[in-house]
Amino acid sequence: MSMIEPMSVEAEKWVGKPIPRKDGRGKVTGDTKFFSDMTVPNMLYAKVARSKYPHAAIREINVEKARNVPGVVAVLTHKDVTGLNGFGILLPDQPVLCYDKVRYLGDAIAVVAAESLEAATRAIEAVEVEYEPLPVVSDPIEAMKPDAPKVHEKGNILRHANVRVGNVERAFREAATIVENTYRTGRQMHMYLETEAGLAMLEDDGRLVLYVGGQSPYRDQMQVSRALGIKPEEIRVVSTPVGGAFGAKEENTVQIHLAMLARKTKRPVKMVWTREESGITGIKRHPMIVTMKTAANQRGKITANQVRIVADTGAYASLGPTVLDVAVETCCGPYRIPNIDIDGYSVYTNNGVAGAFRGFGAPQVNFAIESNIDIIAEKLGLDKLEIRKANVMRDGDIGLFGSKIVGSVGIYQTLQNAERSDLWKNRNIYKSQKSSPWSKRGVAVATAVKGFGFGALPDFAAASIQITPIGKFVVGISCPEIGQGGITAYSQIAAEALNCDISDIYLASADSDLSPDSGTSSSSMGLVRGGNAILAAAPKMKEILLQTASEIIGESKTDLILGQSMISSKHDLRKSATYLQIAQYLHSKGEETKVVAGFEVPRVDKPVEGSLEIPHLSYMYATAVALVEVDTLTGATKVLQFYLSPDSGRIINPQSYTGQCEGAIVQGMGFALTEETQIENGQIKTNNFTTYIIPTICDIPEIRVEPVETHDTFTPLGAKGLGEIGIVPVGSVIANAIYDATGARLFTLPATPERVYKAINEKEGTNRGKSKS
Amino acid sequence: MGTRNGVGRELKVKVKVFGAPTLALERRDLTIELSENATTEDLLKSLPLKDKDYVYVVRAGIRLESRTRIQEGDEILVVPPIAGG
Repeated sequence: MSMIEPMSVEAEKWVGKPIPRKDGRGKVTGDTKFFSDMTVPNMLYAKVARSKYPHAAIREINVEKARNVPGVVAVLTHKDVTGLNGFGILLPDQPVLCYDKVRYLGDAIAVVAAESLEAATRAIEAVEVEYEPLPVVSDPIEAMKPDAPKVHEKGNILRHANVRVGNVERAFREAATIVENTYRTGRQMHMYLETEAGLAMLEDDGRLVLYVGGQSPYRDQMQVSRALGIKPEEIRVVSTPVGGAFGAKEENTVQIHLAMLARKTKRPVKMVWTREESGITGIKRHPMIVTMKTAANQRGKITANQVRIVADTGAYASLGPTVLDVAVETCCGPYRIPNIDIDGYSVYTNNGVAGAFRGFGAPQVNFAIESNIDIIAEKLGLDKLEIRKANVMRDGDIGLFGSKIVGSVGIYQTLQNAERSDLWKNRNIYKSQKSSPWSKRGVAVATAVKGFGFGALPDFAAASIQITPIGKFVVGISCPEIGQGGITAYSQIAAEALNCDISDIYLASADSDLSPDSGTSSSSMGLVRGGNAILAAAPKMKEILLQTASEIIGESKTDLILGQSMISSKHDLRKSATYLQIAQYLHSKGEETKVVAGFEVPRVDKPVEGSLEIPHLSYMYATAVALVEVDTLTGATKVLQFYLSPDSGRIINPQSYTGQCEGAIVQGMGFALTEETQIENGQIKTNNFTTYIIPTICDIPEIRVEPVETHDTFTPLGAKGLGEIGIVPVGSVIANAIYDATGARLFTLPATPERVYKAINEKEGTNRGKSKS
Repeated sequence: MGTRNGVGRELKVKVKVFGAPTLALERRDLTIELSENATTEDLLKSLPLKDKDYVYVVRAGIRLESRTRIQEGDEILVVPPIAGG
C-alpha cells in the first residue's frame, strides 16, 4: 500500500462532485444494448433441460428424441463436460450437468443449441430422464438432524461457525434484563431487470469469447476454464454492461453452458433465462432463523449476546459459507458487546440455491439485534436512540473479535444526524397525522454495520492506464458496471489523479483482454478496488509524462510542474508540453505508452478461528429512521418517510451516492414487507412478478440521505463501500416502526399484511386477556 | 523447499500460499528458491498445491501470466479466485 499516493483531500476538481453518470443517458433512453439484446449472424439459441424433481436419483438420461427435433444443432449432457463437472465460487459442488442425482428444480440435465428458440424449447421438452424421487429436505432445522435425508453425501451441514468471547453465562447472571427471541427472514429474489444472459462465440483462431452479464470477468474465466479443461488465457470474457446483479451474478449462471455449446457447434450461441427460469434456478437471499439472547445492565449497556443462526443455503454451497461469516460478524450490530457466543450453521436443503445478495447475511441478523435492542430499551424505560448512542463503537475501538478496527468508525455521528433529523425531532407530529381512523403510525430507528471487501480473505486489484495518440487516457478496470456508477467514479478518480478533463478518460471496462484483473464488483468493494488501483497506476503514468515532457522542453523533471493536461517549466510557463504533444512524441518514437499497477487489499493475518472471511479491518455504518402507517383492518403497511445517514467514508460522487442509497432502501422495503419466495416441498410457487411482489414507484416513500463523510484510513482512497449498507437496517427499522405504530412485534419478515394483521390481533387478544384477569 | 532447474544463479522469493479453494483455506508462508530464469509456471510447479490450475499468482497486486519471469526478492501471493460479499 505504501506505493500508492493518498489522494489529497483538497484535490477536488472531479472527486466529490455530482458528475452525471457516463452510462446514464444510454440506460435512460434505452439506447444501451445489454447482452440479452445482442444478436449476431449465424447465431444459435440455447436452452437448458432442468430437473423436474427437487430431489431425485437419476437412473437414465436419453437425449435421442431431443437430437431429432428439427433445427437442433447440439444436445450436450454430462458426458460432454471436458473438465471438472462442477462449479461454485468457494466449493465446486454444483454439477455443470447432472449425472447421478438432482438436488433442486433448477439443476441442469442437458443443454441444447438450435436454429430457433422454439426448436431449442421443443428439444429440452424431448429430453427423457428416468428419475427415482428421493425425500425432499425443505426445513433447514430438520435437515440438521442426523437421520435427515442427505442432500450431499457428506451431510447437510455445509458449515458450522462458532465464536465465543468473554463469558456470556456470567453476564446473563449479572444482567438487569435479558431478551430472547427467535426471528425469521424470507428468501428474497434479486429480480434484476435483465435475467441471466449471454452470448458465446469463437474467434477465427478458435479462441472462446463470452459476452455475459457477470460481476467479474476473471472469476468467470477461471470457472469456465476449470469446467472446460482449457487454459484461462484461451477464454476472453466481457462483462459490461449488466442489467442488475446484486450479488447473484457473482456465481456462474449461463457461462459454462454457453462455452460448451459454442465450442461444440463452432457457432455463436445465445442464452437468456426466462423470468420463471431465473426464479427457479437463480441465486436467492439466505432465509435465516436467528435465535438471539441479549443482556443489558440497568443503564442500558449491552453486556452479552448469545446467537444461534441457521441459514438455508439450498442445494449447493455457492457463497453460503462466507454469507454465514458475515452474519456471524454483524449479528451484534455496531455495538460494543464484551461477551458473545455465536453459533452459525449453513445448511443444505432442496430449496433452490442461496448465495450472495446485497447485504450478504447482514440484513437478516440485523433484524434480530435491532429488534432486541428496541425491546431492551422499552423494558428499561430508555430512549431508543439514546440506548444505541450509548453502545455503538467509536474510532480506534477494538472490534468484537479482538482486532483493532483500522478504518473510520462514524456510526455515532450517523446517530447524531438521525437525532437532529426532521423526522426524528418531529416524530410525534408525523405520527399524529394518520390518514384514517383505523390507521396507526409509528416511527423507529435502527443502526447497521457491514464490512466491505473480503475481510480476511486475500484480495487484490490492478488497473492499467494508457495514453492514446491524441493525448487522452484509456483506463483498464475489470470490475463490471452493474449499475453502481463505477464507470463514472473511476473516471473521476483518474481525471483527478492525471490532471485532465473527465472527458479525456475512457474506461476499458470489464474485458479480460483489455483490462487487468481488478477483482469483482461485489462486497461493496468495486470502488475501493478499482479506485486504489488507479491511484497506484497514476504515478507511473505521470512519471512517463514528466520524462517525456522533460525531453520535449529540455528541462529536468524536477523543474517541471503538472498543469491541466499539460506540463510546464517551473521557471518559464511558456515552455510547456501538452498531453497531446507528449502523446504524439511517445507514439512517434514507439515508446511505452501503458502502465499497469495494483495493490493488495490489507487484511488481518489470521481470520477468526473457524471462519474464512472475518474480521474485516474497516466497516460501513448507517442509521435509519422510518415513518410507517399501518392499516389495522388489513395489516397493510405503507412506508411514508425514510431517513438514512450512512458512513461510507469519502464521497466520490454525491449523486451516485444518493442513488445507491435510494436503491438499497427500496430493495430493503421488499425484504421488509412483500418479498418472499414461496417454496413448498421443493416446488417454487412464486417465480414471476405476478406472484412475487416487489416495490414499485407507487410504494417509494419520501427519502432523505444525509451522509457522514469520514476519511477512511483503510486505503489511500479514503472511500469505503456503499452499495450494501443502505439495505441492512431497512427490515429492522420498518419492523420496529410497525411495533411503534401498533404495539405488535413482528418476529418474521417480510411483514406481509397477513402477518401484521395476525400480530395485531394476537396483541389485542393478549391485552383483552390481561384486562379480564 | 524449492526447485533448482539447472545450474546458474538462484532466486529467493517469499510466497504466501492460500491453498486450494476448500472451506478451510490453507495458509502458509514459504521462502522458496528458484532458478534464475524461473517463471510463474515454475513457481507453481514447486508448490505443494492440489489444484494448480485454479489459482492466481499475484505480485504487487497484479496477476502474473504463466510465462512472467519471477524476480529476486519478489513477494508473491498464491490465491484461489475466490469472491464474496
